[in-house]
Amino acid sequence: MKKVSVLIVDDSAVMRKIVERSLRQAGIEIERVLEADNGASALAVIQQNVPDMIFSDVNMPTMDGIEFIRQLQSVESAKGVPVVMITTEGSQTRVMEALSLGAQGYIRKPFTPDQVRAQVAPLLEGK
Amino acid sequence: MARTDFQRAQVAFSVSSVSIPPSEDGPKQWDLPEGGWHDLIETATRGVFEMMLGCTLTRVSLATSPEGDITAMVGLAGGLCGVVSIRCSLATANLLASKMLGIDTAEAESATRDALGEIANVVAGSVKAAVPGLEDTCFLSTPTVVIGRDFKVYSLGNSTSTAVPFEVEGSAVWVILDVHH
Repeated sequence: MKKVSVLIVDDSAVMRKIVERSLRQAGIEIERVLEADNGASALAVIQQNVPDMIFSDVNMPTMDGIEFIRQLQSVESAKGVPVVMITTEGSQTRVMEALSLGAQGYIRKPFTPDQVRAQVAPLLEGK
Repeated sequence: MARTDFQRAQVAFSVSSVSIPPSEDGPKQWDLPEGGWHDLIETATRGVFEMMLGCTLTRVSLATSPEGDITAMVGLAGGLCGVVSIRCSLATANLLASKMLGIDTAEAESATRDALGEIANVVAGSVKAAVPGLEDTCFLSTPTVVIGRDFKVYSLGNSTSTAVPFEVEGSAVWVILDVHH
């Protein structure tokens, strides 16, 4: 598995750090971490740098995670980039909405590095 | 009124007063465990602290009302309306932030409010997840953090409050669930 660049989208800087740490603890080799504090700023980041993988919170001000992945679908350069939602929301309706819009994984807070690895490793196979 | 800092303010509830009637174990329309809201809060909070902070909470009995100079609140709306709050001293909040980030307390100082807000967010999510039927009907606000101890919170209707005191490394941490009816 090669080193990957990841975009972590969360309005909490603390949570962004925890996601990064959990990815490293899960054995994911990270080359570069990009950060954004809501969906709109994440779309702006992607215009400059397309990551190998995106981790996004759902509940955020300005643009939430659901709207973010909806708009991400029309960003040609980001086609095929896996998105994993990381959230406190366990609503099946929200989970299904995120998955139907193109999210490929869903991790619920609080989480362990093992749970992160289980979601992320299959998405990185072949990268 | 002491200085009040609305961090990441998206206030989904009134924050101007607090009316804390005697604690009750909640209306019967929710399928709560035998120990009611107290046990549910304890289970949810302990799980969050163990997984996110790597520390064990001890539930204690304190004769005082909830106190502390920092309070993180997350609003609940829909199937369950109310507020989940976590209240403690600034030093304790700083300790929790350091544990959450795996750094020393001096380095964690600037992240203290953010960290306590996230803890409240995840505790609120775990509380609602523990009540059957709430996953798809109850929604969370983003966290609000208040600095100061001289404030009151009033809800716009009747509410019951369940406050559960914990201890972590000798410091008190209160988790409070106010349910609006």
